[in-house]
Amino acid sequence: MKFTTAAVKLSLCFTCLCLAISVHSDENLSPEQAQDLQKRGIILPFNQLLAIARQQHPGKLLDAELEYDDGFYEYEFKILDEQGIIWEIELNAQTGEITEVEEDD
Amino acid sequence: MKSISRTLTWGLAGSVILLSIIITLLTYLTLNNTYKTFFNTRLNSEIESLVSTLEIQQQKIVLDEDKLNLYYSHIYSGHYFIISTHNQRVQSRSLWDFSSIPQPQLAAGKRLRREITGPDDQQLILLSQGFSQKGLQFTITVAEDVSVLTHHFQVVTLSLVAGLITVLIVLILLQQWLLKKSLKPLVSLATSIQSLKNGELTTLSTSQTPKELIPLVETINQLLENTAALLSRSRNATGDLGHSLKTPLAVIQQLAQTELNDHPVKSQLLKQTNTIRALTEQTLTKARLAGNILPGALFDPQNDLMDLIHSLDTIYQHKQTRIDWQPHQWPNRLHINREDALELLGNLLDNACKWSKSTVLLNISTQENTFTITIDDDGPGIDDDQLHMIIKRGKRLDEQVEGHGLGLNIVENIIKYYKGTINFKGHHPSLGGLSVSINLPQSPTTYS
Repeated sequence: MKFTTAAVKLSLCFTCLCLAISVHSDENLSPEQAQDLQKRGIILPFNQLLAIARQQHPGKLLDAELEYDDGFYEYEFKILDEQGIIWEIELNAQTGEITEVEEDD
Repeated sequence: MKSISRTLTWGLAGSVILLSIIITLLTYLTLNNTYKTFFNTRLNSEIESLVSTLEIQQQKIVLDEDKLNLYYSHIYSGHYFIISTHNQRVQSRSLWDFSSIPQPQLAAGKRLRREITGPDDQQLILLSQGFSQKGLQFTITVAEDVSVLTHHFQVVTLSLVAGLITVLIVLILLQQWLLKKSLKPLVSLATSIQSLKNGELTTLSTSQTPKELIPLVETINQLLENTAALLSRSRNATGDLGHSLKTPLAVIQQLAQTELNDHPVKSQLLKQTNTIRALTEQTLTKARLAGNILPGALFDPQNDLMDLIHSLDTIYQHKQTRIDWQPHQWPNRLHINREDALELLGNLLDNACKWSKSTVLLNISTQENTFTITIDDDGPGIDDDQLHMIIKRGKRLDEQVEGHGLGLNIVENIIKYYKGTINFKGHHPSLGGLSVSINLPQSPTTYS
């Protein structure tokens, strides 16, 4: 029973930790944080990354988000193209490398 | 020189251009004003909505994010705000990392409007206003992207200008066409007057003339008629006087010859009466000169000589004299009055026919500025000493003695009037008879 309690406690703790980590890893960064990271040279300027995304799919920028995921800063752009298709393009904000392109559903 | 056509052209075109420029400017200014007012109103209501959303808590501005318009949260959405106090700055998420929007600190109630280039090449209109609430001074700046509208505005303005220019061109072309159409009678009247001067017409036609010009044309015709009548009357009167003086003069001379045997006055009287006779003769020939008076029919050798030559052929039928002429090679019109030309050629041709055996050669040729009439015959010709006499007499008309049969008096007068020259050759190289050549200026100069 004691063990069980301990196991439960441990598993709870682990879950909590996992949750904490996962929350941290999926965090949406604020404009202030983005500016700070950009100033410190950790991430590339927003304009530059937007231009890379638009090379893939030219169109109007609907919105963007900066996330910290698995140790990487990642921008997710929502772009509406001429045909009316909305694209979600994910870029590595540090390298400018496109990591994912998908039609938004 | 003043020209009705030019005055009208420039006057009409100028007024249309001026009107178009005024319309363009007014339309542009109105559109521009409407566009600016529209955005000012919008930005103003954005500021008001932000003011109503914010709260002041411990001298800090707190915004309720949920009450904000959604477009303030999308990055580079084209709608931005910045709220700042002396030590705090709150801005919309949509601005993201763009930090070049100027944020002045305005006193409460002050407003400032600017235009800048924003993120993603957006054209931003900015409106800033200073506020004071609970003792805290703060400034709100809102911005909106107007790229699409600015572009649209430019397109509309350009289309407006292009449309107006097209209308302008069409209007000016239409005006030119109307002007040409309405000035046509004036141009054709000018052409008719030129023809009148050239002697191709004797009166102006009124059939195609618009009613505004009819009084003018009729007056000109009336004047022409009057001039012609006056001329003919004065010629007749002078002629009559000359002729009626001849008989009394002859009687006086006759009486002097027979009645004043050796009276010392006789020679004096004869000399004086001779002078009167010569002067009368001279006046008569001058009166026969028509000269350069409108309506002046110009000499058309082909048509006008036909009757003269025909009658000469009839007169000298018994001698079987033939007048040799090739009118088809001659110019159509010579700048000499028809009556004068007939008088001149009539005298010379009659003379040539009188002396010829069988042939009289008539030729007319034109040079650059003059034309030459030559009359040659195959008669006995004139020897040099006699020829000298003819020329001398021709040059000194006051010594003219009547009755030499050459009729050179009138010829000399006409040639003098037209500023021409006459030359005699005693013997024509091939025909052997007298050769007369007359040079007259081609262009119509002012005759004295």
